[in-house]
Amino acid sequence: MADGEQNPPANMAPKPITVMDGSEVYFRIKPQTQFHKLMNQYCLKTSLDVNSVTFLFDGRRLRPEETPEKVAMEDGDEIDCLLHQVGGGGEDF
Amino acid sequence: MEGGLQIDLSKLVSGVDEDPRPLEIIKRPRQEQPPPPEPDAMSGDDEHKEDLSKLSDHELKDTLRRLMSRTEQLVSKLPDNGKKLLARIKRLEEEKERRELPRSEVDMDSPKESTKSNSVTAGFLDGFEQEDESSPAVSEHKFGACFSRKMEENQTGCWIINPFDKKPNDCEHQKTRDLREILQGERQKGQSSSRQKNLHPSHKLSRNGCQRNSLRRDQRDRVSSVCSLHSTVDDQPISVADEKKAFEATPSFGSRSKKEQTIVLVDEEEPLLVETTHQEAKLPECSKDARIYYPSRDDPDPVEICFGDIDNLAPEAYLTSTILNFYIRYLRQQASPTNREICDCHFFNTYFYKKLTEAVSDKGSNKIDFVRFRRWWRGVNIFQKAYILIPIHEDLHWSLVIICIPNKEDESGPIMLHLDSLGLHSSRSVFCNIRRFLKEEWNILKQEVAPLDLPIGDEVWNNLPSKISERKISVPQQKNDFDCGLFVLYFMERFIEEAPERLKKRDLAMFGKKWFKPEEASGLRCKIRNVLIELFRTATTE
Repeated sequence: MADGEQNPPANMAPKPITVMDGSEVYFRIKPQTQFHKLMNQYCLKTSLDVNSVTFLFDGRRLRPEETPEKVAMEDGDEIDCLLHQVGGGGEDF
Repeated sequence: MEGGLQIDLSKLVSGVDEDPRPLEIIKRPRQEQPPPPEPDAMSGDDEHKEDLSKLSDHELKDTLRRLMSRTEQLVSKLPDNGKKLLARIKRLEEEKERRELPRSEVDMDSPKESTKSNSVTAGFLDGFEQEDESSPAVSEHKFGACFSRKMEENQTGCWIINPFDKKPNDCEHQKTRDLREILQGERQKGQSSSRQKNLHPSHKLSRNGCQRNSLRRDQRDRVSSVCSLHSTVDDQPISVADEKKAFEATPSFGSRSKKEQTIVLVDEEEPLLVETTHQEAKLPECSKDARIYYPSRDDPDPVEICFGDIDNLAPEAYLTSTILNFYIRYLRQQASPTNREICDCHFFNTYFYKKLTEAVSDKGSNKIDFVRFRRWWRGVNIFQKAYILIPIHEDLHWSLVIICIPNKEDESGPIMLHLDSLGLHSSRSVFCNIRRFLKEEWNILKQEVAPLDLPIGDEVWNNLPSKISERKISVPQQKNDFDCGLFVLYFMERFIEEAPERLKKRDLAMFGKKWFKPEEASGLRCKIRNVLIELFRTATTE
């Protein structure tokens, strides 16, 4: 944080991502970098289709073109990556 | 007949009547017939009676007129001085009188008919035609009455039908044909004892078809099976075919019966196809990846939908969180400008419950988790809301929890309601998690220094965790394995429309198995799809 104040443009604030299965992946992302870069990277690492997941920050869906700065993300914040939920009649069917 | 005379009318008449036309079938209600005349015990008499009864009204009149005109001439020439002839004339007259009775009765049913020339058959047809235009119930009734009368006639033997030599599995087809033949007044010979069984179901089927035609999509295939019965009849344009058309126009609900399911109908698929192609045509030209934001890109809390997400609303498709979250947002958007009460509702998205279970689980450092989790409803004091709506997703199934917060006057605490269209989710574990969530939130709020502007009475607030009650609500159930997402959305939609300002226990009567028809919830599929298509069209034209 202190670093960020001293040298904002060069700051690489670590942004951890927590997935629902509990495994944690940490990302460092610049405040001005759009999230789609992070999303694609994350899906590459975890072999997920980027269209099958959604990224939430404090329960709000992140858009690919948004940046940490825009959504007021701070160092150490979590992004949730969740698979799209599908439901119709349960597994028994 | 009286006097036991030997009468051999057939010989007598054959000389007089040179053109033995084919006889037509006439139907007479059984109850109108006078008691059968005493058997003469003479050979030939039965035959004559039969002849009379087989004569059509028209022929009867003709014969009568002919005989009368020649009576004088003939009487002198005949060996018995025309006794037989006179007797026959008398019988013909009696027969004619007898037939007047049923006719006038039918006329009361159907005024149109009185203008028709001959036989009740005309009235029969009239009934059918009317059915197309109006009052299906009445005409159906009439149809039924005509039918049963016909059947009774069958039994009396005045009117005999040929069972044809059909295979048993042809009977559906045969039924319809029979009906037609009856209508046309074809003459048939032989006796069929199974006929009555056959004909009555046929009537029932057509009525069923009428009612069922209005069934919604999920039952359409059954409907089509009913109608296909009629589609097998295509060689002759008769009222049965008209009836089929009438079916297609009237929507309604009907009961299911197993009988129709055995028949596969292809014809009735046509309306469906037309409908779909119509809808497809309406789809704007977008790539699958085209995205829109609802309500708008600049909204602080928009939902994002891809054009490809519309596929999740295809018939029988499972609903995804994207669609649910869209419609939840849509409900909030639709209701907020007009309905103040919607502001008293807090809608969580579909991911909330999953996160909640992690936040309140015993594993790990849940204290920290919960503090972080609170950012999901940052700036909102959930205890100030009247209702909190939480979609539940587990095991490929959707259900809904509604937390009802009491107001100051209320002495009971919050009520948790669980609405499940299949009863698949464990209400106990759902209630357990949400109770913990409420308790955690209450713990944190209670420690806040700033005085809370709470709508809840102090007594209840101070003992909140012990005051929370839970109810598994009985709600309409889905009849398939793919509509539960729609049910959750429809529960929400109906609830925010109908719920009182604050829900008390006595208000729980608003729910129940008959809260709404399951078809209404299933109908949302189409509605949401249309809303989305409209949004994409607007987006692409802008």
